[in-house]
Amino acid sequence: MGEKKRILIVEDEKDMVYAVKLQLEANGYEVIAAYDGNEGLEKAKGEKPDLIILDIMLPQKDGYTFLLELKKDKAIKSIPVVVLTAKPGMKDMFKLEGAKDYITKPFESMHLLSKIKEIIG
Amino acid sequence: MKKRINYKEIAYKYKLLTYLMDHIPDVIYFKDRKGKLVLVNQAHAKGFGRKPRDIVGKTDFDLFPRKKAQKMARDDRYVFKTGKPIIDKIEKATSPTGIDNYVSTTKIPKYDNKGKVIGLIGITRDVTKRMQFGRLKEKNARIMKKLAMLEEMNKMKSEFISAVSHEIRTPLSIIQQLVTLIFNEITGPINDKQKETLQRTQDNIERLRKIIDELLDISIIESGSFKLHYSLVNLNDLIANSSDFFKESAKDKGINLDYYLPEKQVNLFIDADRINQALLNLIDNAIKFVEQGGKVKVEVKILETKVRVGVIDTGIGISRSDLAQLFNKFVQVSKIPSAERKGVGLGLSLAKELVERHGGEVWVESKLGVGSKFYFTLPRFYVPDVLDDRLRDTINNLLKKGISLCIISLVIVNYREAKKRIKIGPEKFSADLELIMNNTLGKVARPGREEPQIVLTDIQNGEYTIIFPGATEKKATKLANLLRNKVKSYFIKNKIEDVFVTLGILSYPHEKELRKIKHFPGRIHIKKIFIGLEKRRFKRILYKADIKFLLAKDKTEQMQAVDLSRGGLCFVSKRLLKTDSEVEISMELPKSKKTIHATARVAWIKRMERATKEAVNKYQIGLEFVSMKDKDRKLLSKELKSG
Repeated sequence: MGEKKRILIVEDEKDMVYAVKLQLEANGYEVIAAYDGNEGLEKAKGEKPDLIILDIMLPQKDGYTFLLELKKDKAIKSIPVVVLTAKPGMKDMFKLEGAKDYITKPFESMHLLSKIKEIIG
Repeated sequence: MKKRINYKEIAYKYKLLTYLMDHIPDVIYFKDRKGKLVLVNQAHAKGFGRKPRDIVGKTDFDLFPRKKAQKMARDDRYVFKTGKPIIDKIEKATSPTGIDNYVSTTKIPKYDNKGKVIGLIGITRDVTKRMQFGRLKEKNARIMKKLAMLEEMNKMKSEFISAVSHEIRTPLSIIQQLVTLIFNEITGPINDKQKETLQRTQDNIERLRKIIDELLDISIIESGSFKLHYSLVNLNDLIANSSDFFKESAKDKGINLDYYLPEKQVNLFIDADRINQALLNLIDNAIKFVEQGGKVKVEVKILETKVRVGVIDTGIGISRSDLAQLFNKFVQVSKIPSAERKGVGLGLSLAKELVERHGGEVWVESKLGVGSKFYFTLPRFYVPDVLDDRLRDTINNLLKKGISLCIISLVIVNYREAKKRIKIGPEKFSADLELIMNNTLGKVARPGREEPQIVLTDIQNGEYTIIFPGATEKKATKLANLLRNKVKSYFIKNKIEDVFVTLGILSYPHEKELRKIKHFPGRIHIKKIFIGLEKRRFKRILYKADIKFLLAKDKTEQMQAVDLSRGGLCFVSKRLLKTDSEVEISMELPKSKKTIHATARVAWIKRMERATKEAVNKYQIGLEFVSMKDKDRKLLSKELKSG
């Protein structure tokens, strides 16, 4: 039995979403996609995922703002977030802002998988 | 009533005016309406190699070539006719030798008491310098403008590269993942041929990624907007972490990767990511050059003033000609196995740049067919090296918040020996010291702000650390001075003899770096106070002494030391010595004229970069004394004391 863990990916690159979705689904996760920050917050509130994968570089509402708003909303603030970033060295910034972990692009799927496993199993 | 004519006064004034006229370097003359020179000064006459009396009565046409005289006459006529002066008219004259001279002409009409122009007064002055200066100013302005433009372009270039690199990384990341998906058969089973093809694809994606990273790094460094983010790092941890990175690839290649770390924990104030990057580049390089069954060793050595990291391999080695170019950009070494030819050749030059930004040195020793040794040094952080994680985190957190810190380190040099000579028992001694420190701190603490506090004491070694948050360098110096004086008087009061309290100032990052770093997340000021029986233990003085090196096989070489202390010396040599090799030295001390002997070890090497035509390489080499006879040590101490 065991319910599938649900992951929300907030990323504007459609092909990236395709690749990650395929990978995660093959590993037994359920994946929902959002292509910008606003959609992301909506889906987070609506679907209550177990984990959010968030790209920092998003159109309109950027990743930082997303994190801030996420943390403000009681219903969703406890959802762990893994941040995708192209810029290394900003790690500490995220820890401050509430992300659980980060991963730099380009990344290996295995790496992402193991991080996810660590957080939600 | 007729006024009394004071002849004396007139004579006096006349003398003064004549003096003025004849000593002024400007050419001054009086002309009448006909253009005849009525009065000229010495400078005027000298210009023709004559005396004034020879010139008086002549006109310009008698003195100058016709064309010139006509020009001058035209100016004269203007003044006579209009009654208007010509002031500071600049004319260019080229001398026979081709040099341009600039001359300023001033002509002022002379009136009689009826208001008629009866002549003019002329002043001619050489203004070549003024013009040149003007030109220089113009040139300077043009250069500044160009500079501003170049800076703008540079800024645009790095913004461009930054933007482009992100744009490149995203599709690259996607490609990577898509390939992996197929490779891992998530999209369905694949045959061996397909698997192999995809493997090669992945390898090339990795290549691309590395190239992009390096290009980006180099461009950031060059653009000057490169920043180092300092924090307190435990060196052993940093180095040990690198092993995770290479475990797999080393194993695949059948290479032994070993780490030799010292027992003593050392904390360094560095940018951990960047030093890690430098280290990884070196190890990566080493692995490239080593064949199956070979070894790569990473060793850390703690020297007096620096920490030295060595990456030593048993690979194919580097030829002498390649060695010289090794750290240059885009250089690929000739004998590299083609399978390993990855990257654009920026790894080593990046490593060098990163280490040098920290105030360290990088160098390499290699032998073809035997292997290579890459070394880099980093300056040490003078604080008791056993800082526990909690404390280190505290410091780093304060720094991240942008709060400047002051760390005062109180060290009793050679405390172990000193203890024997101090009549007070060690416990009382340290208790007293702590009391003094607390009292002094109490004086500088401000209510409502974070208090300075003694955070670490190492009674065994006589080291105390005080952290002073929110302090400026000025305040830190004040506190340090206060402490020093108090401790000094304590020592005197208790008859602790031969005490010398020295203020050692170490600031991180180095002042030079501070100017380069525009946004520093927090400043750390470190003051080290030395209390000790041995002066100048760590102080290095610029010193000239002739040293003879006894190399193997009875060969000696003479050098000039540039820097001498009790712990070692530094000198410049054309010969590249081997790191860690031992040398015998004999040194004639200039002041006492006595010769002392010592055994020393090569601790670090710095290649001196010179843009000269000399093909000769010069190296600055640091030696640490390993052993010295007591009497020689005493002589050296004496010599340094008197210095």
